[in-house]
Amino acid sequence: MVAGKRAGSRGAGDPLRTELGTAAAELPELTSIDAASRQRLAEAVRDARQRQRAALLASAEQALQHVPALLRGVVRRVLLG
Amino acid sequence: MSRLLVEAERIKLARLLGVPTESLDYLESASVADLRALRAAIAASMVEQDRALFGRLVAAARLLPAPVIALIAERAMGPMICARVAGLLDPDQAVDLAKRLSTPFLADLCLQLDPRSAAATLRRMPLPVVLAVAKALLARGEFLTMARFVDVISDEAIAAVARSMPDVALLRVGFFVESRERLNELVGLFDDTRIRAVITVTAQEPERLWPLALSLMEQVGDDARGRLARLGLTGQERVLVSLLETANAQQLHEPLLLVLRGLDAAVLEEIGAFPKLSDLKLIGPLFESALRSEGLVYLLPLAGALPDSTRQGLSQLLQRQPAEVIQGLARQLVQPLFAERLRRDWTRVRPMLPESWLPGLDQVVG
Repeated sequence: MVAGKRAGSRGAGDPLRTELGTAAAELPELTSIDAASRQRLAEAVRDARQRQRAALLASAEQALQHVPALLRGVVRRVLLG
Repeated sequence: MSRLLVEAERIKLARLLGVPTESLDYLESASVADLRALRAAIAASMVEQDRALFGRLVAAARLLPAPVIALIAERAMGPMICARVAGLLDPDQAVDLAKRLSTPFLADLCLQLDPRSAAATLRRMPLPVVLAVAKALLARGEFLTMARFVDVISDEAIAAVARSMPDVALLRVGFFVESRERLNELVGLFDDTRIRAVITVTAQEPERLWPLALSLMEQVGDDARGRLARLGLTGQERVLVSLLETANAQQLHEPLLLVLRGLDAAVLEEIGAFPKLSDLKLIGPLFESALRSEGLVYLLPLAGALPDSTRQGLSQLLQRQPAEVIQGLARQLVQPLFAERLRRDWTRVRPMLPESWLPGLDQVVG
């Protein structure tokens, strides 16, 4: 999978760099990873970030159940805005 | 060798992405450098995406007493979220929190944590906590995870953890350490006895452990490599034989030659005199590889110590090499180092060289 088309990993249209956003700024050319693999990686990164977001929101809500009642309102405002 | 390092990088990347390692099989030909750079960028992007939410979690944590935060961390947040937040907490608060968390939870958290993001906290972590978590990770066979922390925890903590680890585990962790500088420092932390023990244990499981040991020796600097080779091979015929057998079976001659280059002539002569090295099947492939990679010069002292019959066998092997390999030897001949070494061992090495080369070489040697 890694052999094949290698050009374009620095290009604006590279899906992996697009997915990584500003974090891709320091990324080198990635010459050993071809376009198809970068596409699959971009999808894996997107999935991982979505899972992280979902877990974060769920755990924030669950965390409130463990906060002492007196502090719960304040913590909720800080946590959820 | 690099295949093992790529596999290690795929495991780390899979952990970060929360996917099975097999799902990243399409990266098996990627370079270690690209995978490392990619992992760093993905880790940064995952923190960046939810930086605001993580920041609010940290702000909320400041409002609550430590026992409540510890309870929430284990029961509600889970190890992945805690690993992401760890680097954003004040180090003193993070250490106080860690002391209140269970060891199994901290071990789970370590699997997800980017140690560089929490370096200040990890350096302040009390030794009993470090030792307890290291023991839990060791019990799970998490050598790769342990290696990721080597860059950021103190020498004192590393030495203490290493003392509690079996020799073979130390080798497995060492294999996964990424920073060459740190690896050099680590070699300096261990005394001769421990290093000899770690290399000796390698011979007990040669097929699996020599590739790791050779990879580790490839990565350290010349001084550290020389010390490892000298301690591991001096007077250790059984160890050297198992190393040669594994190198022959797995085509590991290139890293083996690099290791042998770290030995001075006296040690090479000593190991060349090991009785089992007279077996041409054992030693021949190393010399063929050395000739192809223009590294024969470094083996001359060893060749000089071999019995006449073995040198004659080597001579026949060398004469059968293709023309381009012989041309490579010719290039070596003009190097001052080669001439110097050749001169030193000439009387013993001469009989193993093809007749047609001798007039020219006699001139080089003078």
